[in-house]
Amino acid sequence: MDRELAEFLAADGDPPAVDPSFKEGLRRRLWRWVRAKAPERESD
Amino acid sequence: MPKRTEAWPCDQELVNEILDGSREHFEMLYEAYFPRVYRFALKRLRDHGEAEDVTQEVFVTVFRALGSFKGNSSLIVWIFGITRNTVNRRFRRRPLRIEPLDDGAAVEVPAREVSADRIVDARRTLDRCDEAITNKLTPLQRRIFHLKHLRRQSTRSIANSLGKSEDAIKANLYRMRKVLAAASAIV
Repeated sequence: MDRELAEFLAADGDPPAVDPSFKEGLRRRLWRWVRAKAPERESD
Repeated sequence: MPKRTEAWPCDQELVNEILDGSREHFEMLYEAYFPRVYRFALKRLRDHGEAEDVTQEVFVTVFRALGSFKGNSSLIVWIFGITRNTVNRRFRRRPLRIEPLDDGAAVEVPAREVSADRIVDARRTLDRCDEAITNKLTPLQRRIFHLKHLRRQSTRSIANSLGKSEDAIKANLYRMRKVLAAASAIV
């Protein structure tokens, strides 16, 4: 297997020292964008 | 965040659900790939700020292009390709360090740029792995692959979910690794 792909697959859990506010902020922004593009749903 | 109990759907189904506005499926993808993208970028760029920039850029690219994902490749290989290309572009944007040669402080700086040859080789390897995942794994093996590598479930948990023995799961994982190893072997 390609070494880098194998490394990518094996990465498990958030890396140490990842800024939780960055992760959550990105999550919120991305979800807002996805939600705005999606058609109306009755429920999730 | 509640523990995900629903099985990971196939790639195209996951994408379709996200495009339809499913929060749950959005979270599946984000949680599965955030650590992978971030770790990959951090290891190569060795800087948390740059890793954050790359991670953001990768996810924006992924979600913008999600509508054009048609399942011709596997999601993991597709996202991995975007991640690697984004990191490589970041390297090319870095300013060159110029060291005067007659200065005693000049030191040999190892090349960080990826050569064009390696990029081409890597792309070919990626295509072969992608083709192997899509065409050479059985539906059961692809499911096990997702549960093991993306949902990070244990062999026992996978066996229970699929109603198989642990030995059967391990045997399938072994066969999958051989298929992917053969696909990625440089000839």
